[in-house]
Amino acid sequence: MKKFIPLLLVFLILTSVCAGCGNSEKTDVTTGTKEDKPVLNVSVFAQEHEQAMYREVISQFEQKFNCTVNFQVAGDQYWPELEAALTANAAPDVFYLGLGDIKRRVWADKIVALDDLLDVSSLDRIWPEALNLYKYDVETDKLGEGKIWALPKDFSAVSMTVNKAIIEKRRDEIEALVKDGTLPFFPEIDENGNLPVYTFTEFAILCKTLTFEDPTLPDTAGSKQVYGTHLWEDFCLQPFIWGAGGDYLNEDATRVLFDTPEFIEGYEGFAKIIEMGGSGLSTDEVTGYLKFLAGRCAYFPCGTWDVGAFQAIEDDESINPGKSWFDFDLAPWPISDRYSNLSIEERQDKWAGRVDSIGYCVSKQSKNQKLAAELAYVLSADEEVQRFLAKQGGQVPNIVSMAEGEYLSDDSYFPESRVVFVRMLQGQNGHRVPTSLTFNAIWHTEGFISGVDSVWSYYEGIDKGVKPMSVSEYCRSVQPKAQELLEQAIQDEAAINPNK
Amino acid sequence: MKTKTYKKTYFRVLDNIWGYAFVLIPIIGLVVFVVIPLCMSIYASFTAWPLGQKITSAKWVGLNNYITMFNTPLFWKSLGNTFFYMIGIPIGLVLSIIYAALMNRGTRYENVFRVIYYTPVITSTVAVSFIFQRMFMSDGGVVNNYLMALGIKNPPNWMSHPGYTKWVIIIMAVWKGLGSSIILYIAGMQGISRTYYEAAKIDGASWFYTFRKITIPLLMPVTFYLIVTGIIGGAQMYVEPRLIFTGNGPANSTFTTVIHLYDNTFRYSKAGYGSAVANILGIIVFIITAFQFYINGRRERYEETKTNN
Repeated sequence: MKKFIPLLLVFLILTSVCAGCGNSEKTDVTTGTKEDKPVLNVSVFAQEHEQAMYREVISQFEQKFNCTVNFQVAGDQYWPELEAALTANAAPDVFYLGLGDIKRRVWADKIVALDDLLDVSSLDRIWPEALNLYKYDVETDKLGEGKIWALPKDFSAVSMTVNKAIIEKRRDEIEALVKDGTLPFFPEIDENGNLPVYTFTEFAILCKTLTFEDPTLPDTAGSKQVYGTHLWEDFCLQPFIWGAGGDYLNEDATRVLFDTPEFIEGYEGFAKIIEMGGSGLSTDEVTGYLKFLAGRCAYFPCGTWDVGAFQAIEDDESINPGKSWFDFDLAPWPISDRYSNLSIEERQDKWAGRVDSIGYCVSKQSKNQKLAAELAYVLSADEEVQRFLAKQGGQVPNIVSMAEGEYLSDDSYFPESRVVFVRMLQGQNGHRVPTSLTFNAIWHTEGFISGVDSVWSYYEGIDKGVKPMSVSEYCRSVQPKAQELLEQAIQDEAAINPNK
Repeated sequence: MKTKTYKKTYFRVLDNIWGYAFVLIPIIGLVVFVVIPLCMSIYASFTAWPLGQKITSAKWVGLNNYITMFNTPLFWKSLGNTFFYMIGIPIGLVLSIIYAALMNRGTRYENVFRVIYYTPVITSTVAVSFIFQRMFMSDGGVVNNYLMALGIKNPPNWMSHPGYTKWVIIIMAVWKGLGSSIILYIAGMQGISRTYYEAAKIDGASWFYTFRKITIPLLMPVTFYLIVTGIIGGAQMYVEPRLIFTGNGPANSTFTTVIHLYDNTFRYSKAGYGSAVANILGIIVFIITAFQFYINGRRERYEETKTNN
């Protein structure tokens, strides 16, 4: 007997290894429990307050559908872990889908179309602009058409935010500029509901006026120096390009447009703020964010997900008594100097900011696809979830009627000018993020962003170890390489496109 | 006679099977988690493999990924930055050996100091990065406020000037890693026989001379371990630059090779190219580590010869 023990040991090890290497479809333990309840695995990333709300909704879902939902909140390695799970055919039933990932997930047969699993008429209440982002027609290879492959977790927008406390402190100086005609209007919504849309030069002048030493700031601000704005290309340049009538890519996303006059004009408008001194000597996002939170920056970009954090500072009487140094609201992005003769009404549709989304999709390997789709629908369009998230300042409601109705009219939502976000999502002032239109973003990050310090070095006069270049020089210099990288991305996409 | 030989062979085979059974588990682990991924990574580096697709469907591109990599200025920049960060290794070693010596003198509150210096090691890197962002804010940060209070009118633009950004990361990495090096050095110092120090004391050697001639040489195995792990860890630098500088830092000054690898693999879906970067980085780290082992081996042989003579 004793001599068989080693053989048995070897056999056990080999069988257990083979079992571990087996196809998860055959050994899927997630499809049933002792009570034979269906089990769904959901993997997301969410903030603490969001998690509590999701758990509550999921608990109701479990009761209604007599199922078990494993709600997993991933850390900062969400995307690599998801890729690993997808590659190993062990993806959760419901997971996030980025806009740039739709095609390759469909081609790799990793996700299912939701049209066949849900009552399509029930999707009417979700923003059609957001739903269109998740449509893809496999046969014609066109995005925005065909079947729906995910439901939006959110439909986000990035406008500017303004610290009105700073504006108030400089009221006299700004009013003097309005009086002498340097600025066409005061930076606030007028009596007809028109947003204060400035041209690049006007905005630069305004930012310079808002750059001053404020002795009333608390010591916790770290410094008394206040700046008009803080901008960095990766996140803030796009609205300037769109505001000048330009774009990053041509219509079918096959040509990079960095060397076009409109693009250069938009970038020059952006650089003008640096040149005029309204932005401060730093190019990093973090410093800008910290300055804004400390009440030391008047204008800053603001995503729909940011307002909760901003509101928390505004409401904290112990650190911000009477909103003395932090009182935020939303504002539009500036537009081309070519529009300087337009009235405030005529300027309303000239500005644009980025709109984006992330969606819930259902794994092709899910044993409970219909149930998973139902859960995705609840997370995306349940009224209570949407109301809660919007009131927390995490997003604009995904339900159109709610966003255009109670979100605008009910004062328990914030900030005051949230109509800015709604107009962007309605499409009149929103523009899709260009990098989500291509197979990858390398043409933008490596082709454009990685060298922008040349421009900062030029305007700031600081040696950053790169050749200083004016905006037009820089844009023309990077165009060929960026175009090459875009073409490479197109080729990479074609290589895995089953239709080609 | 025949039976005896048969029995001998039988027991030898049985022994061998027992032996193989015991080593099978680590061997399987090695094959599954090291050899197969390594082979896949080498194979993938010669293909255009879009992430999310099956590797079997990846198109063979020969040396293209390697050629592209060597012709990409960002790759070289990232490699240069990665090795620049390793300046922190000798700085950390010198500081930790000094602190370890000070905390190993039997003074009253040395355990309290050990806890204090070890705290950064167990603190979340996210939290530490957030604190360092605030401390090194170019304008309004604690560090520059102190420097200005000391009379420096134009303190460094830590977060925006490429000449300083890497130093923010190095300072943070040294500060965060100091505690574990100190503990290792203290353990090493406590393993040194008191007789060496007593003999030196009788000979009239000063504290510093004893430290230089006895403590430091006898701590060489610890130092060697810290250098090797420091270089391997430094080559994998990813989290700190990404958390403190959300992008690649001004003029890509905080961009590391692992960030380059990650971006290409997960953001641009170029897993083949990412594998090529990983392989080259692995080869470089392997060569450096092998060289260190060679130097260390030579030093040990020299010491042995010296002792024998």
